[in-house]
Amino acid sequence: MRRQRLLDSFFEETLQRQMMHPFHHVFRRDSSMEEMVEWTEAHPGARVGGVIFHMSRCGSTLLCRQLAALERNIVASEPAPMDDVLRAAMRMSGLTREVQVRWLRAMAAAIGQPRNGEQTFYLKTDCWHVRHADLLSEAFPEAPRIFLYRDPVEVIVSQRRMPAVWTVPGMLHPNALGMEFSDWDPRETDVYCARALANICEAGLRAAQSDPRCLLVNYSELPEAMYGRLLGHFGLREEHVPAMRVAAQQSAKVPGMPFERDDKAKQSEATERLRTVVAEHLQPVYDRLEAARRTQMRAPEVVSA
Amino acid sequence: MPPVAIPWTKLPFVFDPVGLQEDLQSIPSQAWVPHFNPQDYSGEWSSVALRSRSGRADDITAQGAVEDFHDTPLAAQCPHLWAAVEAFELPLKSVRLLRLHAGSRVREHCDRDLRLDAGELRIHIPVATNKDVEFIVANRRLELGEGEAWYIDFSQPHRIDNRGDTDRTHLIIDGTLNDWAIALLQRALSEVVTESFEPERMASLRRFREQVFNDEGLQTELLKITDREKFLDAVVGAGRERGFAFELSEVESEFNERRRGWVERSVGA
Repeated sequence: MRRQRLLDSFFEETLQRQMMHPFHHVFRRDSSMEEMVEWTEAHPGARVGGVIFHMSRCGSTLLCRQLAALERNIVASEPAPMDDVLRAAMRMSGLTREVQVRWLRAMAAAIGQPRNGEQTFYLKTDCWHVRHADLLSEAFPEAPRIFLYRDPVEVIVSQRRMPAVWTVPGMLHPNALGMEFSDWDPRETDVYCARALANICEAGLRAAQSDPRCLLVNYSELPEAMYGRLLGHFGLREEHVPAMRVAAQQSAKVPGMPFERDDKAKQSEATERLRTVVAEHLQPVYDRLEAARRTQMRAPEVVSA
Repeated sequence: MPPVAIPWTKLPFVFDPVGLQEDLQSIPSQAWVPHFNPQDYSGEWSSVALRSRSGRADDITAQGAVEDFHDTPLAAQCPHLWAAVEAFELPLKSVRLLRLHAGSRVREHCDRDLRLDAGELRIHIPVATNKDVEFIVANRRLELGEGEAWYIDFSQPHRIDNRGDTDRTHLIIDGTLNDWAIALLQRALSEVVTESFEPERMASLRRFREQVFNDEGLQTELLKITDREKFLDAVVGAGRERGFAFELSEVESEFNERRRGWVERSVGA
């Protein structure tokens, strides 16, 4: 990777582009987790300055782009190796929590190597990782966290337009989402998606309620929240705002296109059936998230670092 | 028992190489035909059939069902070879002699249809070989001795390089898996010790890799070359300059193996 910064929307894109080069196949280093732990002890990564949990399709990529606009930051978006470690316990029955925490720190240090003198590493997790929020808090107790979410109708409309791989049980094991294979019905894919999202939101709510350093953030607050209540939370200052404002002018997933709020377009695409599915599975937890967020916003001092 | 993946095993048979070679020498040189897939090898690679689809000795295609195959006149003319074939109590498909001439090589490839779980079994009996034949499967060197019998899973990447002065000829028996063959494989796995070795030039490449990990200047040089073929050549050149013995086939194999690992990682859930 050398001095390459992680500027793609997703960590995997940067990695795949790097792996086009034959060098990285012939001279790829394979190391065991323990070797990596040892290596990262000698080569510490940038300080973990924030963990971003989210429910998918809710502005998390925009947020990452804002953070990555600052050259002092390393932002890794949904890195697959982190998922491997977080879900390792499913494959390795004897894995202790202590070892897993050590591996998480080593992986964050490996991904968050300061290649250009960066100081802070921000991790945007996969959407299902909020279900492991306690593990990540234990691994990175000093890192402030947020759970980002959005009106569920808009999230499901977006998933329907371009379904994420995790919405198909063969691509991500349903247990990662607190689901079963039998919960998936090809005629009712929205239901599987909505129930999985509800599990994610429940986990986000639990994280915020049990952890004063986990802020709830609604898509509707973006991108302005970054210059307001998230600024200090993520350890940033006024001087960092202008660069982030420029980055927010760009659409997160289609570089070159300005970021535009699309809630109206998405709302208008929602069918009656989809609204019924959302009302049944997602609206209640969304309402509770909103109530908890309002409570947090009334007492912002509690969360300042 | 469902067939399990067995990378390779020597089988509990030994045939007298003298008799096998006597038969080999009795086959007229004009009977041998060049092997198909010329892109897979360099040098000379020729074959003759003891059992084939047409019943002719110059028909060396191996694909087909058991009932498609018939003995050729060579079967009766080569009693020692045929006795070795008959030691295997399985439904036979093609039976051929494959000769890799001195100085010739078969490039690394996989024969994906030759798998136990597809019910296919290929047995190698070296008839004539030399110590400089490099028979490499999944980057392990196997030493197949004259008169021995081997099962090898050829869906794995394999390459053969005859660096010796004499031709290498194997008797190759294709058949379908039956209860007898399953019992034979089970017996082989429990009774026979099959050694394999790290190929010397692969070890050389491994040492070179360590050197590259510690040489940022060389990394920078190699990273400038994005074209695959040019890059692999440059690696061979950089190794040679530094006294390493590995060649293009090792670098190619390493590249293919590791890229395969990477691709499989990317598609895994």
